[in-house]
Amino acid sequence: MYFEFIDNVRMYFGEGSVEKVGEYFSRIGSERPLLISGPVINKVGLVDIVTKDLSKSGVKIKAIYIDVPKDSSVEVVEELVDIYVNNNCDSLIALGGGSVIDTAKGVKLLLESEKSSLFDMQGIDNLKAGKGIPFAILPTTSGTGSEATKVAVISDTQNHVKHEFISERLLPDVTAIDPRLTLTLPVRATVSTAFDMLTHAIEAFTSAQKNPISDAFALKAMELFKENFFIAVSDTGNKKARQGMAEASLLAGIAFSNSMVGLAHAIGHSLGGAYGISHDVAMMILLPEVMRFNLDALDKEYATALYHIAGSDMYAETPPERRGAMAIKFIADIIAEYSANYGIALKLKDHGITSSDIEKIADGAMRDGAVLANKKRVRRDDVIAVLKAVM
Amino acid sequence: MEFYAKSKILSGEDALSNLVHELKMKNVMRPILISEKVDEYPSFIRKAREAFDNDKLKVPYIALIKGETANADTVETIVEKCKEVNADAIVAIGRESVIDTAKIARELLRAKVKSVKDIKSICETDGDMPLAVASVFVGTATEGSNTAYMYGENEKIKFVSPNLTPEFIVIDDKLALNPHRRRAASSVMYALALSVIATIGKDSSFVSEATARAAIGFVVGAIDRLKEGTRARKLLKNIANASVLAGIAYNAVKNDILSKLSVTVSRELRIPYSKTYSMLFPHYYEYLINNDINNEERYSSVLLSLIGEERYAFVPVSRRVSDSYKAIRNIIDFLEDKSGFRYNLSDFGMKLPAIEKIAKEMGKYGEDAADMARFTLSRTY
Amino acid sequence: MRHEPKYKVGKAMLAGIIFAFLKGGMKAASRLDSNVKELIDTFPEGYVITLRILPYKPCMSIKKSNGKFVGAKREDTPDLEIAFKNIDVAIPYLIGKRSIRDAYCRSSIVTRGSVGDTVALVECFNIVENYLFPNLITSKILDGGYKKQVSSLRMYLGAIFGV
Repeated sequence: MYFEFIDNVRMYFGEGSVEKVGEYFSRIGSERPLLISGPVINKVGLVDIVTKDLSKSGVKIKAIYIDVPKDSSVEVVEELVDIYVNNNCDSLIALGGGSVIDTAKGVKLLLESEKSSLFDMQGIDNLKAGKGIPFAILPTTSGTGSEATKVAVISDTQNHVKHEFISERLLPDVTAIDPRLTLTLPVRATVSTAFDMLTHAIEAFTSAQKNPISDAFALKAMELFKENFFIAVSDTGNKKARQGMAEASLLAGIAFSNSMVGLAHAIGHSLGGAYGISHDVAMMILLPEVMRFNLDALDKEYATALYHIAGSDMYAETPPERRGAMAIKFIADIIAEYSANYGIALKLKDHGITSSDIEKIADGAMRDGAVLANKKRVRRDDVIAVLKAVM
Repeated sequence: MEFYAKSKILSGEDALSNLVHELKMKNVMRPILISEKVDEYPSFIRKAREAFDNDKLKVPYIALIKGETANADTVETIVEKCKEVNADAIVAIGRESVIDTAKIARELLRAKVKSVKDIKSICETDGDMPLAVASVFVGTATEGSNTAYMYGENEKIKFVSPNLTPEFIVIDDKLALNPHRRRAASSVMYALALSVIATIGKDSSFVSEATARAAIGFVVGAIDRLKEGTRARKLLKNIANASVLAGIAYNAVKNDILSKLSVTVSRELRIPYSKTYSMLFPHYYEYLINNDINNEERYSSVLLSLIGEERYAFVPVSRRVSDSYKAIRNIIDFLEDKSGFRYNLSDFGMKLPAIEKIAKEMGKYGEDAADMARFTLSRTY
Repeated sequence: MRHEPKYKVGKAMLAGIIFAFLKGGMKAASRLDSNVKELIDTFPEGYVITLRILPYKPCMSIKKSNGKFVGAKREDTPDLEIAFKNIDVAIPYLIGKRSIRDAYCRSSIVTRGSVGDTVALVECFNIVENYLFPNLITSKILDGGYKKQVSSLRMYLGAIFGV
């Protein structure tokens, strides 16, 4: 079997690791970075923390943009390209969650190419090496893993679809997993992004494109989830747990960047593009039902996952033939518990979706690349059945 | 803590063909191929040229290295040739010496210096000179390692930097020699040793731990192939992947006292470093689990990687650390039985008084290091 | 001086023959199979699709015209291009040893154009392969579940003679 694996991001971990990013930028002579972030991140003081830490190595931010909206879009990307050029910036720093990171990736892509439109660069692994703009990602959520992935999803707001870009050029040069950056993540978002991360790990571990290396990363991510999720939610100021969740997110990101994801993401992207349901909440809604759909093809993998997510006691107590189903039950139960505790609706109708929307969502899901990587073959009727089950 | 693994791994039957595509995506037009002047396996060069020829990539020059070690003259000759043909990438196919030569030559080119003596520090930027390596003798862990060795007149020079690692590591069984049993066993042990040290090392991040776990998975696969007696190609794939990943995971390890001991013993007995490391490793591990009581989680993680979830879940918590040593011991006993791989220092001519001499020498790293050396050497004697 | 590749003559000829057959099959299926027609409906009129093997010139070009696939000229700029990375990588897919979906999962292809359209096209290829390859092959590579709406013989006639 042939496989490829890439994980070539410089990674720094621990409190103060943002300073290491500054040292790296200073070493390579990047002097005029554009910092891209969002309004909430600025409000909670993270932009100030990062600016100060970078300045310790003499790196002064040349331009700051703090208005990236919840969903990344082409218009924002093009605006940022203009800001970069007008300010004569020489590098990029993304400080934020998935939307900020994907926006920054889009900016990098457009700046490094001679094309005028991002849509001209759609495709899979078709982009030759560009002029290489130094790029750092500082994640402030523990969910997307985008700091280590070669994927960006950017919305075409006019047509209400999300476009995927897949290229190693989307990987950053450097990232810092610093617990200070996720300490201010509200508990509700801590819960939802954690399940986004868990979905990445599970879908990476069960994908048709998986390989032994991505498997090891995915399983380690599941273990870190088990060790840190419950603590991070009950004690949001616990730096060790926050760090653990951030590490899990990074590992899951590396895993799925190399193995792709599956049906939950295919449907989730469709829900996000056309109906505005946030990606992490979509994963909470979809993961258990998609796992039920996949069980007959992935029983063995889910059984292995049970050990890493639920622990050795539950694994040992469960008869081998029931472990796959037990993994689904375990995940469904914690999703149900935490969604109830933190007011996250798990039914599509509570997000304004009606039965008449199902066909369109299914059409969108069937055109998502993740559907090809789902190990069990997916038909349109299967997607409709999943959607009806979570309506 | 930090982690950096620059190399993209291309593993499997299409690896060499895909490498050519990867180089083209990096805008490479004139790769130079470096290999070995050994009559036994010219087919590797033919296969590499075929792959490049099919893809409209002209290979301007093939440099064939004589001898088993990298040295300054060879490195500088390669550098001159690269400049002469205006090479924009280096592809190294061969054993350790070829890979190390290529790594160092690339640094000279990026630093724009002529002589090895002029390299003051390894370049920070990745630059525009991609390096791809494929090992002919799998199991050395050189491919992904951040070190390169060169031999001067009377000395061995070591270069260490994450920037030495290649952009591409090719694991394609078209390019590798089937290892004979003893070598296969030795390679498996070395990969296991590096992976376990990477797992339990205090400097190891969760990323290097995951990488090491993947390596151990391939080690277990190699052991299974040896037990089944399956075709050599399947065994070779497992060993190759195990050693590449072990090398990458091990890059994160700093201050490996076992490495220091192995250097000393290897010099004393004049046996290869990797062989020494493999021999000493099991008893070094035994010493650690008895003396380093704050690392139980990681030792348990080693056991999980070796025996899998199905068996691990039923091992009582109190036994997991000791069972991890037993699992390693079982592997060694199997390899000794299967391949005649010898693990006793006395078989290599070591005398008993040498143990105390080496232990005293190791004392410069601390009293614990001396104790460790005494324990490990006497148990491996 | 431009460097010409040494053709692996046999493999290149085989690929050419299979591409011709596949092109005919796609055109025929667009007329005869309603599932393919439904998938084509998602492409805009005049949409050009090219399937090739790097670094050679396009091997198969089709375009949407009046709700069906018709042949396109090699010079037509593709809206969607799927390229196998090289001929050695391509052959197992062309002879039915692996499915086109595997090509995506094994990083054997690069694509230019919408990923969504790529997914739809892969499904078209799967349907056509189900007709053109014998059951012995399709049972291994296609996970079952593709029902033929016409006989394979009818599809062969359509592919070869355009009827």
